[in-house]
Amino acid sequence: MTTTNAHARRPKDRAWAFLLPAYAAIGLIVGVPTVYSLYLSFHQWKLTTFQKGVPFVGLDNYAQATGDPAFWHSMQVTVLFTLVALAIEVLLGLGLAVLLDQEFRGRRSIRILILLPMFVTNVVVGLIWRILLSYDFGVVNWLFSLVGISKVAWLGDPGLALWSLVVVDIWNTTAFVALILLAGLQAIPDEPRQAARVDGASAWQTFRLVTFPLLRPVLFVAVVWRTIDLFRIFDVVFSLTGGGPYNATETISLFAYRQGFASFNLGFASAVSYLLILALVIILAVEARVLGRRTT
Amino acid sequence: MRRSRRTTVAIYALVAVSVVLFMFPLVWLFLTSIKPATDTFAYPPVIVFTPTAESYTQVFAQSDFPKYLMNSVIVGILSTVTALTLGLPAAYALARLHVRGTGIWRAVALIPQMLPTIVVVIPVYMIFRSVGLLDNVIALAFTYLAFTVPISIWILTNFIQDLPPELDEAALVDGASRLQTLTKVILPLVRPGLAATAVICLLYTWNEFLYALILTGKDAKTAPVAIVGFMTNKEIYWGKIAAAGTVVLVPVLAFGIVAHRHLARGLVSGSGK
Amino acid sequence: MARRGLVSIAATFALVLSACSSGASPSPSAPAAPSTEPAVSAAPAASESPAPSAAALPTARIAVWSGPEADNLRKVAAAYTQATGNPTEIEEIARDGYSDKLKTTIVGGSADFDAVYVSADWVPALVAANGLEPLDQFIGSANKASFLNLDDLQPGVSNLTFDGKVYGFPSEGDTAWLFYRKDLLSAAGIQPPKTMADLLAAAKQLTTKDRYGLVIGNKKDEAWWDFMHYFWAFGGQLFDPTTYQVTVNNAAGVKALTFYSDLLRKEKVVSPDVTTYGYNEILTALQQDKAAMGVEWMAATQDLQDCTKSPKVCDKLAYEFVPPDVAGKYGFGGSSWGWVVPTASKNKLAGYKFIEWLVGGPGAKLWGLNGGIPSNIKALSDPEVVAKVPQFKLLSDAMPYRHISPLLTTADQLVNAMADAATAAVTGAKAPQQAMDDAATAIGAALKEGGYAK
Repeated sequence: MTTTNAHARRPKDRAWAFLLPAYAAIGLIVGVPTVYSLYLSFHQWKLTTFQKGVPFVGLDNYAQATGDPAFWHSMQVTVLFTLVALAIEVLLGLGLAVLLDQEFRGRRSIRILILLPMFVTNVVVGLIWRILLSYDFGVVNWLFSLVGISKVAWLGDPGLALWSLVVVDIWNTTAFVALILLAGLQAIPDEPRQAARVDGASAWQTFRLVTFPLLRPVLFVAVVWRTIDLFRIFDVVFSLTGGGPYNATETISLFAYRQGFASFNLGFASAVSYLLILALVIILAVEARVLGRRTT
Repeated sequence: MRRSRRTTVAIYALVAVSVVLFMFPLVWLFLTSIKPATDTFAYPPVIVFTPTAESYTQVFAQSDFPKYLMNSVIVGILSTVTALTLGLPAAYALARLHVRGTGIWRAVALIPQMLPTIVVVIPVYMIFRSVGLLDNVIALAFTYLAFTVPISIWILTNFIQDLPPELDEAALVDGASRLQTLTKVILPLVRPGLAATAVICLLYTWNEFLYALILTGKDAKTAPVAIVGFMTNKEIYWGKIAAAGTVVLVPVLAFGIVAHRHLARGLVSGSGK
Repeated sequence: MARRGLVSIAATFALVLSACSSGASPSPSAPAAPSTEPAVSAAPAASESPAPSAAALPTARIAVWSGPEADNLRKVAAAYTQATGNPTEIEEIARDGYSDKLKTTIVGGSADFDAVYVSADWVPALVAANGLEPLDQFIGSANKASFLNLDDLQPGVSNLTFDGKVYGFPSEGDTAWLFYRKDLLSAAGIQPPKTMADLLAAAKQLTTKDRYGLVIGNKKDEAWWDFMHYFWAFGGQLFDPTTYQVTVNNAAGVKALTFYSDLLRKEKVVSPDVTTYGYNEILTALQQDKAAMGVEWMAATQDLQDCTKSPKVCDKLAYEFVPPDVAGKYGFGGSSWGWVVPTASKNKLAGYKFIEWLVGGPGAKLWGLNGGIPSNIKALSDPEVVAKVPQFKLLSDAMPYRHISPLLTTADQLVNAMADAATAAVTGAKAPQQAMDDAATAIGAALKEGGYAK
C-alpha cells in the first residue's frame, strides 16, 4: 500500500484522542491487577501466612515453578495441545470459510448454525462431550459397537484424553476462525479474483496466489487470538476431564488454578502465570515472523 | 461465473457433512433436555422415549434462571456495543493515523487476554468491593471490556487497513474531519468486520465464568454461573443443564440473524464519492 | 423402638465418641478430648434465653452450596424465622466454584455473609487467615440459648475447635458404605464380602461382558475422597498423630494402593473410564446396572433406593460396612462439614443465633427429617428421625472406626498429594510404592509448612 496523504500526519490529527478511550478502559480494568499480580509473584502470599506478612522472596516462586516437574509437564501438555489444535482449526476454519463463501441454497441459515457450537456455555461443552465420549454410556462407543469396532476409553485412557480434548475444542471453536476468515473473504474485492480466472488460473491457483495473500493479515489475527485462547484454556478442560486422567490433560491454567485457589498460594500462582505469558510471547513472536503483516 | 456440476455436488456434500458433525452434539444436548432423568445415561442410548418438558419447567418456572439469562444478555450487549464504540476509533488511529509504534500498541492490547483469570480476579474483587461495585451487571460488563476492546481493535484495524486510503483522502479533501471520515466513510464499509467483531465480543462475554462467579452474587449472576449451579454435590441435574444450555443458544441465534445481514459483501472496490 | 434401646444407643454413642476422639484425626494444637472443652455445662442459672417477643435480629445472610443441603436449609430457615421472628436470607452458590468464592470473599474481608457452610478441612487455613470468628463469646454469654449443649455435638465440635476456641458448629458428618446387588450376589452364590479379599473374588466372579463387578472413583478432583475408604480399610495411616512422622508409604498404605490400582490394571474388574469417575459417576454406574458393587458415600442411599430415580436397581441394592483387609478391623473414611461465622460479618450475632438453632436446637431434628445428617446426638437418636432414616443406625455403629481427612492449615496440599498418588497408580503412571513415596514427601512438606513437624 503506497503512502498517500491519508497517512500523513496533519496538525489537526489527534491520534491520542482516538486511542485514549479504548486504552484507558483496558488500563483501568487490568492495569492495577496486572501490576499487583506481578508484584505478588516476587512475594510470598499464602492464605495461611498473609496475615503475618507478605515477604519479598525474589525469584523463589519462579524457581519453585521451574524446578517442579509438574510445571514442565503442564507446559508440555499445553504447548502440544495448542499447536495441534491450532493447526487443525486453522485448516478446517479456512476450508469452512471458503465453503461458506460459496453460493448455495440455505447459505444464510447454515452460516448461522455453524456459529452455534461456539456459543454453547463452556461448562456445558465439557459435560455434553463427557456423555458422548463415555466408555460405558456414550453414543460414540455405541455407534462403534454397531459396526463391530470395540469400545474406546476416549477420556479414561491417559494416552487418548488429550486428543479427545483436541477434538472437543475443534468442535467448539473452529467457527471462530471460520467467522473471521469469512468476514475477511467478504471484504476482498472481486476484481483481482475474477481477473485471475479470466487469465486462465485454476480455482486453486487463484486461491493460492490471489485470495490467500489478501487473507493473510486477517488470518494472522485469527491465529494470534486462537493461540492465546488455546494456551489459556480452562473451563472446557475443567469440566471435561479436570486435568485427568492423572495429569494427561493438565494444562498450565489448571496447574496455576490448583496452586492459586486450591492451596491459595497466590505468589506462586502469579509466578506461574507470568511464565505462561513468557511462553506465549515466544510462540506469538514466532507466529508473527511467519505470518506477520508484510507491507505490500 | 458458472461452476461445474461436480463442484456443486461437492459443495453440498461438504456442507451436509459439516452440518451433521457440528450439529450432532447440539442435537444430543436438546434430546438430553427432554429426556426423563433416568434415560440420560441409559445404554444403549435411548433414541425413542417419551419426551418431557420437566427440565424446562424446572429451569424456567422453578428457578431464577430467566433472570440470569437476561443478565447475560444485558452484559453481552453492553460490553459489545461499548467495545465497538471504543475499538473502532482506536483501530482507525492505528490503521490510518501513522501512529508511532503501532505494533506495540497492538501488542499491548494482547496483555489482558494473556493473563490467567485467577491472578487478576482477586485484586479486581478487592477493588470492586471497596467501591461497592460487586454484584452489579454494569460493573461486570465494564470488566469484560478487557477482553472485548482488544479483539475489536485487532480485527477492525485489519479491516480498515484493507480499505483504499483514497477514500479517506477524498473525504478529507472535501473538508471532512477525521472523525467524520471515520463515521461517514469508513464505518459503513467495515460492516463485515464489525459484524464479526460483534459476534466474537458477544462470545467472550456469553461464555465467561470465573469473573462472573467471583464478582456477582444473586442479583447480577449470569447464565454460565447459574448453569454450573445445577451441578451439586449430590447430583448433576443433567436435564436442567441441557435445558439451560439449549435455551442459552436462542438469543445467540437471534443475534446471529441480525449480525449476518452485515456480514454480506460491502461495496468496496473503487467506490469514489 | 423401646426407650431402653434409645438410651443405650445414645449412651454407646457418647461412650465411643469420647473413646474415639482421643484417637481421632489430629487437629492442630488442641487435643480433641471433649473434657477440655470450654466449660459449657448445664445451663447457668442466670442465663435467660431472649424472650421470643424481643426485637428481631437483623437478617442473617447464609451461604450454602447448591444441592440438597440448600433445599434443606431453606426449609429449616423458614421454620427458624417462624419460631424466633429472626429473618434469614439464603444464598446458594454453585458447588464447582464454592470454595473459590468463599476463600476469595473471606480473604477479601467481605461482609457478604453472616454464616457459611464449610468443609471442616478448609477451616484451619481460614482460621489462620483470621477469617473466622470464634463462637466462644456467644456460647459463654447471655446470648447462648438454653437448648445448646456442646456435648451433643461431639466429635464434630472438636473438629472445629482450634487453640481452644470453638469456630463452628458441625453438620453433615457421614461415611461410605459398600453398596452391592443382593440379587446378583445370591444368584452367584456369593456372601456379602467380609474382607477385601472377598471383595476382589466377588468382583471377579460378577464381571461380565455388560457389567463390571466393581466401580471405583479416580477422577482427579475427587480421587482422595474415593480412595480413602480403601486406604483406611487396609489400616493405612497418613502420619503419626503425636510425632507427625509420615507413615503413608508403610506396608499397609502401599498394600492398599496396590490393591486399588490392580482393580483396573491387573484384575480388570472396573471400567477403564473410572479414571474419570467421581461421586456422580459411581452413582450412575450403580443405577444403570453397569457395576455390581461399589463403595459410595452414604448420601447416595436415598437416591439408590428411590424407584423414581433408580428404577433398574432400587429394590436390589443393599449396603454394609466397607470390608476391611483383616476381618473385623474396620476403617472407614468420612467427611465433616460445619457452619462458621466470618470475622467480617456485620451481623455476627444473627449468624450465630441461626446456626445455634440449626445445629444445637430444634433445627437439627428438622434437618435430619429433611434428609440431612445432623451432627447432634439428640437429633440422630430421635425416634422420628431414626424411623425415617434407618441408615443412621449403621452410621452410629460406624462412628468408632471413622477417619476424616486431617484438619491442617495445609490440608489442601495433603489432599492433592493423596489424589496424585491414587491417580498416578491407577493410570499406571507410577508404581504404587513410588506413588506413595512421592505422597510421603509431599505430606512431609505440608506438615513442615504448617508448623506441625520440624
